[in-house]
Amino acid sequence: MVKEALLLQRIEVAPERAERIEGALRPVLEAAARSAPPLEFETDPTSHAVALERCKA
Amino acid sequence: MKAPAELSIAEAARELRARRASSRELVEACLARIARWQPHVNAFVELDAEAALAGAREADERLAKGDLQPLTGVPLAHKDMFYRVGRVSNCGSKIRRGWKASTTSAALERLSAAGALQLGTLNMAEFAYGPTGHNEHFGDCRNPWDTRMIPGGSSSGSGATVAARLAFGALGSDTGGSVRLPAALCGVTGLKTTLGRVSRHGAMPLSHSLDTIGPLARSAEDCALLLRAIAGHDPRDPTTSREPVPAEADLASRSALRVGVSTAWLEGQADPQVAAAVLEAARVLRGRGIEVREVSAPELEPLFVHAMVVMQAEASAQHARWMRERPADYGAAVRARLEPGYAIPATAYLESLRARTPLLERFCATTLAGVDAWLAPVVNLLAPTLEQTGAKGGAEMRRIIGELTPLTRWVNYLGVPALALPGGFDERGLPIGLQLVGRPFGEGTLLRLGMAYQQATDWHLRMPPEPS
Repeated sequence: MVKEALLLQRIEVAPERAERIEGALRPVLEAAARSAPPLEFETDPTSHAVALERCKA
Repeated sequence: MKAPAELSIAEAARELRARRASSRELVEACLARIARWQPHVNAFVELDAEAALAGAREADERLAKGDLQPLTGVPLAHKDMFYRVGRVSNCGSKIRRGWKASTTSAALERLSAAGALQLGTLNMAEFAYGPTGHNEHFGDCRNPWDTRMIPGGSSSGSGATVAARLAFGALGSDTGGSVRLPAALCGVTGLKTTLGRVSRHGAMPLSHSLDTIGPLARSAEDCALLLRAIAGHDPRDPTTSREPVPAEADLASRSALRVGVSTAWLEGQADPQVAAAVLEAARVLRGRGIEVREVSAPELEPLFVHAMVVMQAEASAQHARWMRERPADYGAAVRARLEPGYAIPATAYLESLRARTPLLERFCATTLAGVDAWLAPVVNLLAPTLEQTGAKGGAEMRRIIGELTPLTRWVNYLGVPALALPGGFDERGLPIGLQLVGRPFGEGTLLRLGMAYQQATDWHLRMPPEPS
């Protein structure tokens, strides 16, 4: 997966580097997916700016 | 009068306005210290003594005519990523070495408008993408308290400069801890601002969802002065807020303040010396009439991984062109940090961005429920050496570097402010840093708490011994 992604974006890496990246990235992506809170369907990334105002001191 | 190097910005500004000191004296005192310290700490990338002295002459003339700008004649120095038209911003890199900016950063413009002078530009991690202070293009920056130790990054030169009293204050940027880590490890005060509090126009980008600009200075009072100069809406950065900037009167408010601390969490994970410093700070705050309550610590691991996903995807996108065209011009460590970002699925990136609204709300509704700020360390471990965290650091290098940012990155992900304060020294005589994490746009409250803490402690007044 990583090798293909890098090739498609024309990012050159050292031999076997793609495999090492995959090994390091997999737990991060798994943890992110596991820990994502249940999101309302309408939640969009720009809502954060509004949330900052809503939660302000 | 104290020696110029022992004055805070607030004191220096008072001395200047009262004509008990001249800007020229302050600049000359800084230049003398830079001459002594620079060979030991490598904090400056470029020193512009002539321009600073010329600026001081003009400032003294303005002061003689009754100029009352808050920072007139005060010499500062800034991380080498804040652009000034026609001047070089290397951004700590080979790729941008010698690059001249065609615009001036909003933060520098505002400091100039407030009367501040700039002594030069300061060392930093390459493209602000590293937490230690290593830099293979401009040489490693070193910690003034012990030059074998890391100063923290990425605003390494800013931390070292303020600690060694080479300038009265400095700007840094904080995407994952880059103001707070050098502040903590060098024993100075640093403010990570709310996302949108300070314009990023004309500042080198790293990760647009996380990038913030903030001051490093000798005290919370000085950070407040610098914040007041640089904060506020800027149409050139549409992400900036119109939220009022904390005024001097807000900081003098006597309304009750409450701080949360998580003792069991702290004792379970921080180095015992770090944990003891945080608990002692809670005791000091209580002694200042501030209510300190036990609160539940935020669940940091999910926040950390979402921060990693966002930062890696955005930083790698920012650098995509150079990573294709001239990858060999990056330092090995930065290139290794950028490469994984190209393998992060767009859906994972966007899901992490979508998740931050509910996670911000959860933090404010749980840890911060009933308190104004959460008190925690900046770093759980004691300062490591440059060697331990450098290319020759061996197997331990990755682990130690990984332990530098778990308590800082999550703050950027949520977008909230945090104030790093010196909170004592470890058994080796190296600074230990605390942070107060607050609600969005709660900088005024954090600065009030910091000022209350610093009225009862003298950690922020301690200076590293002169180099031999």
